[in-house]
Amino acid sequence: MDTNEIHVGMADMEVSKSPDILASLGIGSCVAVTLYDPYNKIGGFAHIMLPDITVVKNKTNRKKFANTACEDLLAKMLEAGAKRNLIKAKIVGGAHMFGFAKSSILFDIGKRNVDKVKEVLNELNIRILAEDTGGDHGRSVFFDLETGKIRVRSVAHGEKFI
Amino acid sequence: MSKDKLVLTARHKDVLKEIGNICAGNAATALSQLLGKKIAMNVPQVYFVPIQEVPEVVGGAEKLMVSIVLQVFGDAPGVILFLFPQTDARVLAGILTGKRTAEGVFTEMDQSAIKEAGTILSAAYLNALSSFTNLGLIPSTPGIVIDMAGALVDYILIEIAASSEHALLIDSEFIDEEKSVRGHFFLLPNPGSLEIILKAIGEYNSGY
Repeated sequence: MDTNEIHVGMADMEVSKSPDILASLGIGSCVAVTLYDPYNKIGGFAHIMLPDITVVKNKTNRKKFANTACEDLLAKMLEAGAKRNLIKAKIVGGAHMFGFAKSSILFDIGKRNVDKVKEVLNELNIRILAEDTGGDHGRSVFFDLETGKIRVRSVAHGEKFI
Repeated sequence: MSKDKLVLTARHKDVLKEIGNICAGNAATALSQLLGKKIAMNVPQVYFVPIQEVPEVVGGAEKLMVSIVLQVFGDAPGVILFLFPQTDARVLAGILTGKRTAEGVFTEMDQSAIKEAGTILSAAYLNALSSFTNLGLIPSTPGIVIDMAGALVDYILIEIAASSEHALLIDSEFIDEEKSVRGHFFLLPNPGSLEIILKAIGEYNSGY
């Protein structure tokens, strides 16, 4: 089988199976939420931008927000045949890219994104196995659905696997 | 305004291009005085694209860039993003500080010089935009980040994403005479600011 590298853009999500790789390039304050069922080798990847859909006016894209994206990603995983009790999460991103906060929306946005993702995953009863979050650098994320490992690449710190 | 019903007509794009041209011309003059060399610019491009496509517009999500970021305060808030490839930023810093920069490092002095160039360019650009539109526009102090282009812009896009699915970018390219420094200067008006700018120049009507 050929490995496809599927790129997940901002405010988007994908669910696929081994041997595919789900990837996002250059994540800053956004957060990559990955869900994985190691038995069925099914993985989901959401690239969220903002924490909370309930506080904004424009609610057209549920994939943009931590709370709705996590719920929808889980639903898509189950639809694809993943087993609820086998699904574990890993999260990457949520950097603090600039010294200044442009507005209240952006205040500490990376950390707020990460916190919200954790809160929602906790409510959904999904354990977080690993994370590479915070800092002040961008990351590229490659989620290997064969192994469940995530390769994180950054300019400042090279490569690591979580 | 319901932002996502907003369609940018060909005429709006032309008008924005023309404004971009005038403002960037002013900025090029300022930059060439600062550097003591001729600075050319290309005809500005106007992009009105889904937020997901912005990293491509600014050069590719993983491309290593040196970027200066300023906020625009006042009547039509937005963000200014001034992006260089790393090698070009090094040349620019070299011209400004009179020293050659070693590979791989940007000293405090280099960063401060690049920021200064960004400040002067932004002020000249906004000045022209202000007098053209009669809007009060004030730049913030600059921030500098050296990282992947995608990571630089996602922070800026997050705010736009809170109210819109699209981002407007007015892109001007500056090139020095030896073509050793090429920088892209982007103005990203906040979603509400586009309407304000078009209104200010008498190009806005409710028909779109």
